[in-house]
Amino acid sequence: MMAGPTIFVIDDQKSIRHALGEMLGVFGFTVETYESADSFLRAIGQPRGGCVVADVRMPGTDGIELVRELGRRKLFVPIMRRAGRSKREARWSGVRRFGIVSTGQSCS
Amino acid sequence: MKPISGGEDTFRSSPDMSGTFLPPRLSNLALDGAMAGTFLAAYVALEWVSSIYEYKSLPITPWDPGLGVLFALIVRAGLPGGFVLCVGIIIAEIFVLQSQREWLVIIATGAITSSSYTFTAATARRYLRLDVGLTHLRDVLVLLGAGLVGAVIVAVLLTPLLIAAGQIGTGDILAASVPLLVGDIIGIAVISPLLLRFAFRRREIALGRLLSFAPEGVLYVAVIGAALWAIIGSGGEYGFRLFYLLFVPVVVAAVRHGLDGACLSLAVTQLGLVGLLHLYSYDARAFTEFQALMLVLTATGLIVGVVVSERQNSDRLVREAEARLKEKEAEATQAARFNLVSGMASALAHEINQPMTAARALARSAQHILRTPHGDLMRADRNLTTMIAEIDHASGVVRHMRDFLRRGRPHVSTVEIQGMLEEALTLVRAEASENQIRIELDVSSDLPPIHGDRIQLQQVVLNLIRNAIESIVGARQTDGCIRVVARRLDAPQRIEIGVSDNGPGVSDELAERLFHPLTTSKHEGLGLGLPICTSIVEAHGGRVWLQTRRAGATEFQFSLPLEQSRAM
Repeated sequence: MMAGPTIFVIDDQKSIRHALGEMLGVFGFTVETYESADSFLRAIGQPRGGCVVADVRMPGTDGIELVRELGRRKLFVPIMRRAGRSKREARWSGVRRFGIVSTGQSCS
Repeated sequence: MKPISGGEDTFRSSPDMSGTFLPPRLSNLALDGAMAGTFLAAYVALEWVSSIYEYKSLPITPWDPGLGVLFALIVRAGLPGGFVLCVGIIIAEIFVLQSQREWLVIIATGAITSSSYTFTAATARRYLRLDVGLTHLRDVLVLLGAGLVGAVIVAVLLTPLLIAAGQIGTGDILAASVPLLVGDIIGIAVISPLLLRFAFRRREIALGRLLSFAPEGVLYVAVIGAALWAIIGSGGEYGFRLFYLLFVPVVVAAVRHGLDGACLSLAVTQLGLVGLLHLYSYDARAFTEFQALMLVLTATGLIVGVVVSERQNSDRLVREAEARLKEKEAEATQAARFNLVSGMASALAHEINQPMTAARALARSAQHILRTPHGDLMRADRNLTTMIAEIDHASGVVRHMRDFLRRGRPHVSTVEIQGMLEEALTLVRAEASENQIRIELDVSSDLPPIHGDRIQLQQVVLNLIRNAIESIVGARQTDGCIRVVARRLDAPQRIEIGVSDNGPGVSDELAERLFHPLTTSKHEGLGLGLPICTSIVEAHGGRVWLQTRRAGATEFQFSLPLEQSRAM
């Protein structure tokens, strides 16, 4: 299990972070949770196999900024977003630019 | 008295009594006919009851209740009432008094009497604007004046007629006309206001309310009876001197129940007086003298009664206006709450959605564990426990929102400050975090509970926090922070709650008119927030003020006194 790719769950809300991490863990994924994009960016040094599940609106670096930053660092981590709250966020440009699968509301 | 209310509309259609009695529709015609018949019968019956004395075949009735009844009808209905009076007089002359006069004299008597009263009543209504509800002192005076003038005209016109007809000599003028005059006036003064107040006004007299007055009514009747017995029983001159005793129950009734009380107690007094005078066989002269005294009593009672009624009426109007104002205030407060919540609707939806998302993920993981052979049941149990907490959180938000939007009157209870503030924050937290604003709550531990309206106090706090959020968002700040602080202070004992933010502050110009209604720095919103906060806090005996307004440290505070002697 540990050898598999890691899913990075980034959400400022502890309950969501915990629940998503728990669910993905039960389904057999390796999960790492971060409360902000900044702490995630600090923790991740080099390219690793896996993907990111992130909230769009977060204090500090937000979801959109995170995608751009990962692009700059050439960390081509696939990103899944959690549903945004507005149409602007739903048509989040980053998703298309990085060719990443966007899931529905609750990542189930 | 059913036919009266039925005919009221028809009469109301021609209140000016211009003389044209428009033919009413057929259905009304029957009702009007029935009413006219009722009045006619009442008049004749009362004439029969009250025809006690005769003077040279003239009915010297020292009081004429029948005339009082018909005068009320004339005042109310105009010309048709006059016809009824004319017919009534003729019938009474022929059948009740069995007068031996010539036909012409009888008809002339009826015509003169009815036209005189119709004329004065029409004048009073048309030119003196008499309100038949008798709501003002002026109306009572005009009514009595119209009756008096009518009676004088009748006496002046009838006396020559009777002299010409050879019924009375010139020496008998005073002896015949004075009792007639007094009798007519007393009949009008006692009966007409009573009828106008009770029979002609379409109002509901609740049986329960009437019954509640019954013991008091019995007391009045007993006192009036005792006074009358003392007056009449003592006999002769001494009785006149005791007459003032009757003022006590009449004035007390008038002071306690206004014009209605005065009318009823006067009617009881008059009935008792007439009955007893008759029983003790007083002569017509003494009778007339008593009636003159009764007239003074009647005038006094009616005037006191109407003044009290006027006062009660204006008190009631003031109370009603106050109640309406309170209602409007409650509505405005309620509307402002809806406004507050609808402004946060999307954030609140998120606040409910978020725990649901978490709960669903936890449910899925628990389900997966249960489906796996030899799954970790402890882990599934933990997941379900967390899930329940998440659902509780979501339902808590919904419940607080529902409580907050609850309609209804202000509800005063014991409010524990910490809990009240935490609950308020559950409603605004989502809105804040959506805009990346931190909210800190700092409540000192020594706060006693206060008496107040929990929802309204939350409304004040929410309003201040919402204003702070909007100010921060308007300045596009990303490091927004709002602090809610509650402290206990002495001299006077009070709790002060402050909401401070690190937004752009409040401009000089806005600060000046901040607490006036319809002031807003926002593009949307009614601008009712702070004035409503002020009225809520003031209702709790405290006040709201802007403590500091510079950028980076804006703070609104409000105080709530601890000794809540003030009733809300």
